[in-house]
Amino acid sequence: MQDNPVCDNRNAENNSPNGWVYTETVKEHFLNPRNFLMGDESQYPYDGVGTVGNPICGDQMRMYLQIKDNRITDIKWKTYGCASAIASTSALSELAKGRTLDAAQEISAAEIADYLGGLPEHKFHCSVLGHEALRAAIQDYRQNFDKARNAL
Amino acid sequence: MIYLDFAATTPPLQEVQEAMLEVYRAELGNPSSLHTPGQLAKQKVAQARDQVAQLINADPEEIIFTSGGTESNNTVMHVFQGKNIAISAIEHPSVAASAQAYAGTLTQLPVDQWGFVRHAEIPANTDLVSIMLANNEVGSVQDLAGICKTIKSGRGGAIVVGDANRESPDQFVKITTPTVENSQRSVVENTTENTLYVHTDATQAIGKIPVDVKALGVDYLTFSAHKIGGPVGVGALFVRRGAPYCPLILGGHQENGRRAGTTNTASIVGLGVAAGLTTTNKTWQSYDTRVRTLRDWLKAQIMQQIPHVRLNSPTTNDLPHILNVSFAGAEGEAVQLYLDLADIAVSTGSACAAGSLEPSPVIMAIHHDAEVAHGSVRFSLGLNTTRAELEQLLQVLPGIVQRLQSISTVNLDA
Repeated sequence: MQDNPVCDNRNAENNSPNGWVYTETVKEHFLNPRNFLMGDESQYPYDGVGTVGNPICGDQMRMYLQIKDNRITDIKWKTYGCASAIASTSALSELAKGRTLDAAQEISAAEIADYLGGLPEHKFHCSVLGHEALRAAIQDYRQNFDKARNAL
Repeated sequence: MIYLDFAATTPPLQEVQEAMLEVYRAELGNPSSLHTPGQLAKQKVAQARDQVAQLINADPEEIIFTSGGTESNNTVMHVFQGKNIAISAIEHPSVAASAQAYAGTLTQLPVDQWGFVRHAEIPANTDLVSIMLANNEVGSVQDLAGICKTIKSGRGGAIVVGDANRESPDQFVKITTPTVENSQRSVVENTTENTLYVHTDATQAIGKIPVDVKALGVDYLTFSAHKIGGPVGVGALFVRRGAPYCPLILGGHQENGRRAGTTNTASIVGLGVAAGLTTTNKTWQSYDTRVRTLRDWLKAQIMQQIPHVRLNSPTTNDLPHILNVSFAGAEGEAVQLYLDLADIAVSTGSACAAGSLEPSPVIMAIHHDAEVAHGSVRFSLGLNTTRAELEQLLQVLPGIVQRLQSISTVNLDA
């Protein structure tokens, strides 16, 4: 019977029937997202940009960074995705702002989820992607910075 | 709260609640018992069976009470265990999953861009075809009578119902029927060779359009009580007299040995009352006039007021109470939750809301576009939905979509 996926109950302990409830913090960030970029990105002069995900998968995040002295002085983002994706990107932007690039790179999905007071299990892997976009943005900045330095 | 999710469930009607309470208070017995309280309960169940039979123009003996649409669908697929089953690509999971589990071979019949089975080819050795009468997500209503006629004509070869070259959703089927030379087929014992049976899941159709098993020509039909103002947890299965049958749930002799388990008298009475009211009031007429007018008005307003909307529902041969659209750049669950925070309840085909990683298989089968599926939002109206409620929806919806589109990574001008 174990060969039949219908008969597989091995993960039964993870099947929380109420696992889709969002915390108040998630709702609050979803309703009032921080640091999002409204409209056209040409309005925001950024030093690094990074994108992760794909609308086909249901979630896509893009982070824009302003950087001075190896520190994130300002951050903006765009997200296509569910409430959890929007809230987690918003939370990440709060976590990352003001950090050094090295410290910002350390931000994990777990830290974002903790900041939001937890996220439903199923949501975690698909919607908490912003930190990867952040790392891509930092890498983008460093590559451009190196290029500019080499050009000198 | 403005409730626009009647396709998910409808609140039990006042008359239904009262009839059920009466059953509970009357201390009726087990309908299987010979004593007086048992026999009183049995009479109540018999009356409900008459009411359900009348609603779909069946004989009472052809009605089996179950726990709902899901059990009814599972029961039919179980009858055809190991046989060749063909289902449409837009079936409810209770058909799709149980067909997958029980079929010897399973064929999926594709749908066109409006959700109609139109150019399907049914393999020659098929034993059961299951096509839902009306789709619960987009509202496409199949020409099931035409499909049944085509399938059962038994002539073999390709048969076209309607004009297959016209790209509008008001014509239907090109189906290849089984050829007669295949003599390997026998569904279960006591069935005629070369008989192809047809099942339809009428759960979303019932009460919204007229449903007549004889006019449709189906062998099996399923529906549940809670879509027509009855209680959750009870439904009906129509099995045409002479069609193959074996019980899914084994045990006692309830339902004439066709479905074991102590008879759920109160819920069955609730279903009976809901069915009776549906028949008496001809609710499908109110749906076709009042509800359809409101729905069409909402559709026009949404298309007019919100940019980058894609209509997922067909414009003809559609259920009168369902409107399914996708807002480009705005994900469905986000729209749903923003509306919920504004006290408006709708539904979405987004994977995020379903608890899976895959978006609605129905929207995928129709549009083959995951972004459209993730962004799909279903508004479904009830008999008591008012214009004022829809106006309140329209006060917030454009702003919500605009907000999500403005922070979206999806470039809408591209």
